[in-house]
Amino acid sequence: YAPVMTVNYEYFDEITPDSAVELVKRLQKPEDGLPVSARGARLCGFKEMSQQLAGFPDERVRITADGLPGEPTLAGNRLAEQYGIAVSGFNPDTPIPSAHAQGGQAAGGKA
Amino acid sequence: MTAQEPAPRLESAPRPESLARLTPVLTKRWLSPDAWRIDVYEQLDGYTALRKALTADPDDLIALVKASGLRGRGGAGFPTGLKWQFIPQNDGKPHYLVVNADEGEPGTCKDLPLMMADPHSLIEGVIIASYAIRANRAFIYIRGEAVHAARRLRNAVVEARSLGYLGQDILGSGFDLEIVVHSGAGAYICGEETALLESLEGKRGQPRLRPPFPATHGLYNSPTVVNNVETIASVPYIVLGGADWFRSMGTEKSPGTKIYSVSGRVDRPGQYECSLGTTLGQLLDLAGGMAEGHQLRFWTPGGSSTPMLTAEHLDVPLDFEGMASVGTMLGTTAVQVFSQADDVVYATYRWIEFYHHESCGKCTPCREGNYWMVRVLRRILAGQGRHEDLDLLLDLCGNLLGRSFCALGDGATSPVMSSIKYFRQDYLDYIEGRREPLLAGAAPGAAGESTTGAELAGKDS
Repeated sequence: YAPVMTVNYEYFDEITPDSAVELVKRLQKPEDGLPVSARGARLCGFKEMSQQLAGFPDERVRITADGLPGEPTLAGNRLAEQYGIAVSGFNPDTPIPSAHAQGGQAAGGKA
Repeated sequence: MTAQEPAPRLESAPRPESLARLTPVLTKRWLSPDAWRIDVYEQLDGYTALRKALTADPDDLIALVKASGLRGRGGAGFPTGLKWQFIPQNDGKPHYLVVNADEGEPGTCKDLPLMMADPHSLIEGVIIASYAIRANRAFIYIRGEAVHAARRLRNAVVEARSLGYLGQDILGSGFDLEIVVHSGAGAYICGEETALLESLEGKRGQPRLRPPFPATHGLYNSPTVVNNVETIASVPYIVLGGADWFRSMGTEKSPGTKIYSVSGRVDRPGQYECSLGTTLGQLLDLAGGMAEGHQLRFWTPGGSSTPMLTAEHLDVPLDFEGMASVGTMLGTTAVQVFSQADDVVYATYRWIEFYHHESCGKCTPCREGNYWMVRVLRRILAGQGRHEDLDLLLDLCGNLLGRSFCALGDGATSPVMSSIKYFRQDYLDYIEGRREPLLAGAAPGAAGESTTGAELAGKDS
């Protein structure tokens, strides 16, 4: 993704000096529509951002759905998918070994 | 999907032995763009591990994780089952699970993508781990700058609670758990476990003296397990597949699967989840090889805090033992690949600038050592280095390594010591004038100039 520029912590990928200037120009004219991060969410202001950092939820509708992982994030997965690689021997019903007698109390664990 | 003829869009497909290293386990759900939603997650076998774990005795879960050989994925590689076992049980004190999601090691990019694409896998792991160590409150300390990942994570916590996976009497097991997601405030040092605990308690994020360890005196002075995101995210798969399956991947002392972040001068940088013990040669093969016109010159196995390696280490297994055998560490498997087009002295300078900036200032060797090394390196890059500067840098490192409360100082010595070890000639080229100065001259004896004041003296990147 590099070079990456962040605007209020949202990522804008593969920035060049020209595209960076273009991005700033678009930010200066929000009435024309703010630029959208491919991997992140729609931009919001610093005040909203600081509230989210404090732990309050972002109230915008379907904001969590914004953003998609890019190809670099999926690189290994794509290769595995393309060449049919999967992990073998995975049986989700493998029993968990038990050291305790049935019905026994949870032993005072070792420190 | 069955194996077909390699798609013609790649000039040359990765070798079969490299492809065989791929193990999509933790990253598998990333291919589903909506896996962050609980309904999609449950369709993709989500929360089945939790249901299975709640039928087992917590001590059996600890034994299972211990038998699997899972080692911490945050850089140190401490056996996870052993760490869980250190928690004193029946002591009457509250126990806490703290997840270190403050991914900040330069080059590392595995935890944030996981929390973005598949946050429920972490939540599920947190619930299982908390049940095992008898913690009724878990904290996820996420790096502040990762705003969208935090949105996904907080949303996942809300969704999980709404379906009864969190709260009281989870799935009728009698186990209660609440998860708190806390956003950090932009400090690399808060990725250090005790600094993280300090920060979580609302204090300045500075490391504590250990012993006592968090296992007995952690958050709020209570028994605490601090684990990395990837470590906890591995737990549901171990619960489902068992210890033997987990050990079938990786090596004997470093079992399992690992998300390797491959970045730099490669054709296809990205996340490649492979079994531990994969070599750089295999990773480069998977990543499409070096980018055109670039030959491998130096690389970091686990982020900038691990000593760098060279092209001669192409076939060393990237597991904990393999890396230790060549004088470095596995770290966070942040494989940063550099070529002849990169200036190793400048890279070291930029890394030390980072450590200097992020040093919390508590310990004199780290605070003063980094401050000093930045200036020495800048002087060298400005064409004003002296031969004694190399001895000075190594002396500074000698006074820094192992002499501070935490590993930030140790990490700072890694690029300096390893770059001088393998690339002394590059330094000498600057010192002896064979190489044009990269930075505009720092006036002799000038102090306190800002790091942004150094200009690149017209060098092509």
